[in-house]
Amino acid sequence: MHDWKKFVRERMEAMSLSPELKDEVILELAAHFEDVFEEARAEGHTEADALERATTEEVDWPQLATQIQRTKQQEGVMNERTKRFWLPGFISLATASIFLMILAKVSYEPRVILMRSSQMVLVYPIWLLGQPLFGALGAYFSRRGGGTVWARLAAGLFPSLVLLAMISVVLLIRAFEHSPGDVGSGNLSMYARAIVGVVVIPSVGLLMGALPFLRESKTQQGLAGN
Amino acid sequence: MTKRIRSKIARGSAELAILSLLSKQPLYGFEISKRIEEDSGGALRFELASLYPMLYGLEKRGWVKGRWEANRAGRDRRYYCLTPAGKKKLAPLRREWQVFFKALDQLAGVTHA
Repeated sequence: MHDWKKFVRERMEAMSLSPELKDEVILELAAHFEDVFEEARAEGHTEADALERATTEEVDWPQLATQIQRTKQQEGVMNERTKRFWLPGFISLATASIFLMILAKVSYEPRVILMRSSQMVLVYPIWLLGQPLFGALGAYFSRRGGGTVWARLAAGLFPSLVLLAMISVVLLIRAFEHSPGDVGSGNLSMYARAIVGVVVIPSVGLLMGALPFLRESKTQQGLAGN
Repeated sequence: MTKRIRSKIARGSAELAILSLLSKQPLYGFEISKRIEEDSGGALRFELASLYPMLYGLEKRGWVKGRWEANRAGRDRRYYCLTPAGKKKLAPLRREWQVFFKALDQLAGVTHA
């Protein structure tokens, strides 16, 4: 039996769409070729004749790929990125921030969970418990938008990435404001502890929530397997 | 007639043909092209390269919706059906074409040619 999916995929390789969308288009076009072939066979043509009939139509494949890509992607590349990364990331960040604000509103105090000599790390245990949910939200919406595994992971970890960026910016500004010596080992240690408390530990929770959504959904598996 | 106008007419008539067919029943790509060819007595023919971009365009505008379903042979096919927005669009589209053909008939007597 002729592999029509392979036949179309080889010719539509240049089409730049999300993997899910691309698979769907390839599957649909392959089904069309298969139908032409099967119809010819049902009319009594030999396999070679049926194959010839199915492939008779002169298709400008690069133009077809461009046309379909343009039609399917009218919102533009920027919107694809928004759908796959920025929006899911911001959903994750917003829910994490809102939850933290609610905790602050009810005067929930941070707890000291690590102590080493006189150094401590402050964390909000209840906020940490919510991290898997925030990570799951980011990764889920990214997968729904057709995001790659890396986009889903980044969307899930988005709250931690933003906090890491903020701490890094503050650290950089401090370094520029003062001579390197003035930043001091004490301050560096404070930043390191802040990174552990608000980036590293929450990341573990975010990652736990995001992990189930790093796999392909059943629909995507079905499309890829067909 | 300029190429641009010809292309617009071809596109508009193709859209009307597809929407009219889908208003009767959901069909998948190959069935749509077959039905258009058969129902027009072979006068209209859709090539794969023009059919699918058009279907995706109609879907993007929200006039049709595609859904994977098994056909009679048990093979998964993407069936297109008319959406409420597509149904709404069909009536004015038909009227536009009636006006167009009437005008053309008055000008060139095309229906009696």
